[in-house]
Amino acid sequence: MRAAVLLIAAGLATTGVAGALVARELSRVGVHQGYEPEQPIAFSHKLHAGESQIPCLYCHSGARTSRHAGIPALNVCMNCHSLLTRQTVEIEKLKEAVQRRQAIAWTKVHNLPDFVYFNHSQHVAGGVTCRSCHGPVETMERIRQDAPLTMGWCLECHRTRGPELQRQRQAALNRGHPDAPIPGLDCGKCHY
Amino acid sequence: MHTELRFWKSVEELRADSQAPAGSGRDCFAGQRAQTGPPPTATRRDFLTLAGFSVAAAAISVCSRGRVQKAIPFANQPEELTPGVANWYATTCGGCTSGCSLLVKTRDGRPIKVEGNSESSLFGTGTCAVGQATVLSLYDDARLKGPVWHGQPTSWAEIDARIEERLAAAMAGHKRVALLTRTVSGPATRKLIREWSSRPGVEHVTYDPMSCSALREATRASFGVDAIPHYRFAVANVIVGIEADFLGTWLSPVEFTHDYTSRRRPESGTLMSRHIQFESGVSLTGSNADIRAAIAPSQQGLVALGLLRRIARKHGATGVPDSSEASLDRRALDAAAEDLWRNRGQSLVVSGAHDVPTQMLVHATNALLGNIGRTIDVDHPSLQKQGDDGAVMRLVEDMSRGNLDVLIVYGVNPAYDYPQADRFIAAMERVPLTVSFADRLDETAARAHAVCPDHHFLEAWGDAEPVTSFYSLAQPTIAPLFDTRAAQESLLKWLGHSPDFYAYLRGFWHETLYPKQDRYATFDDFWDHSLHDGVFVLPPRTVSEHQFVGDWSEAATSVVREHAEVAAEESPDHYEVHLYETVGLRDGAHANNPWLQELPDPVTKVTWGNYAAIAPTVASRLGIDSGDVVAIEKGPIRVEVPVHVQPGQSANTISLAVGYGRTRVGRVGQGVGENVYPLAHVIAGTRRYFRTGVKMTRTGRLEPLAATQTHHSMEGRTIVKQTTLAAFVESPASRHEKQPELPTLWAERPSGEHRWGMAVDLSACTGCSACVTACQAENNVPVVGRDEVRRGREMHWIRIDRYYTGSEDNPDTVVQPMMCQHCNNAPCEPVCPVLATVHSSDGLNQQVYNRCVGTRYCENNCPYKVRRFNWFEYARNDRFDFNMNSPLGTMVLNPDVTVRSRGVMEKCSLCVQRIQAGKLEAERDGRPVADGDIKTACQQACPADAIVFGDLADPNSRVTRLSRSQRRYGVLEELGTRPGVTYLTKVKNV
Repeated sequence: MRAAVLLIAAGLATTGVAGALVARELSRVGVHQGYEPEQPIAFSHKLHAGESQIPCLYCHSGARTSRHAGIPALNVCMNCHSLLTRQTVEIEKLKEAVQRRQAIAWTKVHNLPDFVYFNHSQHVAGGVTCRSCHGPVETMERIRQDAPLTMGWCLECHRTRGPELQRQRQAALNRGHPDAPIPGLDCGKCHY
Repeated sequence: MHTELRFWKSVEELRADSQAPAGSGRDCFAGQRAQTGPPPTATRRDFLTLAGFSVAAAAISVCSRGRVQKAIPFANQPEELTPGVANWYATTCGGCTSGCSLLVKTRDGRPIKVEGNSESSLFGTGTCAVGQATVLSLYDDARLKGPVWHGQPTSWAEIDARIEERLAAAMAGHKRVALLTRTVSGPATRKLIREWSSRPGVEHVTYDPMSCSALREATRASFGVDAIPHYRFAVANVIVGIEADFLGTWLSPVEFTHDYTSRRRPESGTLMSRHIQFESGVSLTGSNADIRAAIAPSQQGLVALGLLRRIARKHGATGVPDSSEASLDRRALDAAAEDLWRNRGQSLVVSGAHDVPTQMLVHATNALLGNIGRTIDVDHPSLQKQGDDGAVMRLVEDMSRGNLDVLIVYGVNPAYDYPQADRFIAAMERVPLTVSFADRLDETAARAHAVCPDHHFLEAWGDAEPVTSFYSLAQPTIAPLFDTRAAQESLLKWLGHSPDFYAYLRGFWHETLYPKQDRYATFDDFWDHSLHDGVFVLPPRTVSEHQFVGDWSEAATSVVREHAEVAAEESPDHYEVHLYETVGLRDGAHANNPWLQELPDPVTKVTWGNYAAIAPTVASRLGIDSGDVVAIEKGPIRVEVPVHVQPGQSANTISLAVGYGRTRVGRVGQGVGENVYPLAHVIAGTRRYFRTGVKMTRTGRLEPLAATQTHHSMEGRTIVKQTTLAAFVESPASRHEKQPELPTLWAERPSGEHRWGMAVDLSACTGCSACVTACQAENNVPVVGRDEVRRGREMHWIRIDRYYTGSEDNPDTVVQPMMCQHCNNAPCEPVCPVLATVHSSDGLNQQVYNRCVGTRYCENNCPYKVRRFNWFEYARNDRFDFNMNSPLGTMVLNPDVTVRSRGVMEKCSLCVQRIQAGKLEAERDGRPVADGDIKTACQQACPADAIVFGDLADPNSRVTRLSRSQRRYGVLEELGTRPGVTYLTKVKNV
């Protein structure tokens, strides 16, 4: 009898734990925080952005004007590397690609779902620093997704910060609508 | 006045309303229409299987990580290209021969959208439906991937060698070579063709599938100018059209729509024009006329003669012979003549007739009215149709006699669209070498020995001169997708020149156009600016006085004689067939374009296929209805098509659209509809697009039309308002007292910085449907195919509703673009259980795809029926084998707009991606959004400027001013929805 009760209790406990584990897994579907895939060339942000202090926007110039920050084309790499004499196996890979005029297929780290529109230039123009979303890139040997990139994480910032937000709030106050909605929180801001 | 008008959408509705209470048999819920296929046979077992599978799939997806995505940057990034930022190039449309100036949007190297070029003083900023769809034909799977010799793929070097050898032999032996081209208005290409035809034995023949040869010949006989005059609708107070669909398909529809509608706004300060149309089928143009009189196609000459006689009488001229007018609408003729005479010098008579004498009578009428040099420009003629029917006939004759050694076919497909296609095909077989520049193995190319595929116009250099002195440049917007070569380069190569058409074009502009201008000091400067602007206009020549030198009495006699011959064979069971081009498919060249196949006809609202439009009286006499298949016979020619009962159709006339029934075009257009070109025939050297003495019998078969006609019915409420100019002038606002503000349950919405809204002027809208295709291109709207349209599941975000009022024999037609009204109190919002449709702070009714679970409650609750449900996965699905099912076809997709998946609702977003882009640009520049910065796709495409988008929170914006117009009203305002879209009452000048 006691054995049977214990068995049932154990069964229930197992089911509960399993359920909790499944629920936790489900809540993480599509969240790739910490994603740090291997890249075709072991490019070090720590060396370039950290030690050499190359500004992010020198290579990722698209972030100023486009929705994509962009990965630099080989000719951007060669702006410096054609002058630098140091050779490593990885730099050799780059130079080989340049010679063969073949683009490099990097593994994309920061992925958003297809139904989200995100524009880098909007945020860069608004004064959001690269590190607020991408984390301490200058310390990363291999690039890693630092933030969860979930909608809740986006909205945390949209609710509390941002120049447009401040401007809107001020404009609403001026019009005598202190409770006016904030456009940065509209669904249609990002989903279309 | 409008309140007494009763609008109806189809004959079924008109009749049903008198018999049964409203709503009977009509669905307002898309998707619940009768299934044409077998009933679904899903069982409980199927359900369990699927459910089990879904659970398993869910479990697997929990364990799996996202797909690894690759990011591939350029190896060497071009300076002017930033991934994610659109580049715009000015070019010239090759969709038809009108030669409109375009701006092409390319994203990451792919052309994805075309817009009108605002630099063009000829065409305005609009486009047409075909122009909008040309960007999709670039990504057509059926295009040839390289040259073909005797049905086998080959290399350019090899095919060139074979062709050059035969050409050299032919020219050396003084044999004959013919270049059969479509109308070419580009001066550089014309020069190249002249170089060809100056060689001994080479002749150039221009062929237009829908010809204007008679008009050109009549102009030569009347004014001594061998061209088609340039018509200026913007300066005409009175327009009389005789079977000329100038707003839809005739000569230069975008330009004419722009000019015509500039005179259709009662507040604009200029006199509103009056338009009288005589025609047999109901064309887009006729549906916009103030007065429309139905005539049989064989009566076009009599109408022209009737007008001339009346005008001549008023003018005091004599010599116009008498003719019987018993069968004509004399009142309409009298009214037309009276209006024309009162506005002499500022009136215009145009005719689409295909016989020379009728066109001469029309020219004589215009000459007597003093319109030449004013509304009709003979000094700067149009070059948009140059076909010569007589020359084509002689060529076919020569070919069949074996007198031709080489035939080069450029841009035309006579094996499909020549009336005696069989003769042409037989004649082709007697030519030792036939070469085609077709982009696919079409009916002609499949029978040619060599096919040297031309570039798509978006891949090629070129130029155009649609109207004399108006030049437009064309430049490549993408590198050629396949191993194709510009037709001009092939022609240059075979002449022994360097095959570099860019150099040739530049050289031509340097030699010919650069010296004629004095604005730019160097040629490079001139070229760069012309290429950037896309257009170049020479100063006008002095207008010379053109006297009518033709013999009108002989023309009149000939018209009377021809009509007498037709009348002699008339009998009640014989019909006249009238062939016409549809706004979507035109002459059939674009039959493989799914956007155009699914574009509802502006008047009949039928998609995917042609049909016999017959008058309601004929239908009830024969006891047939829409969807019944009839056989139409004339001699050995027999076509079977379903019937469409068309109110306003001339009695005893059957209207049939050309452009369908292609046999070799690609998987989309193959076998859609029937080819009716064989019904055209030749009289007195010109091709006529009507036939008399035709028999029509029912076959007993049923083929339901895929029409968007009766669904989305508005259930008899006042949706569209119309008034007359007289009533409007008398008391502009009396018809539109603002409805008292209705009490509302909803709290007042706090307004954000903007309140986006739209105004649609029904007086300007012609129903041309350019907006429908533009929206489809901009918003990745899927094509669903014929069966799904039959079930009422078309996905267009903007539709054009068409209502009739008056008698079914000759009703008035009103059209109304209908899209999401972005109601302030939107009925769709509170019924969504998952908050997938919510209001934004700037007045948009947003649809959030990732939240939507597809209950369709919103669709049920929308009084405007503008919501669309994704019943299937339309992308990458073999069941919907259209552009979104091929890697090539998906290149046209707009990367800024989500491709929706199965099971979610969608609808017009007021182009929210453009709003966000406009706001972003303003923010980056540190300025507020200016009025006009943001244009929706439908607005930008509209050649009539009937749609205006803007910020209703800005008191000075154009949309705010329009939404306070005296003609304003909101559709179904009485429901308290407070729509964000305002309509302006249509005003008719009667």
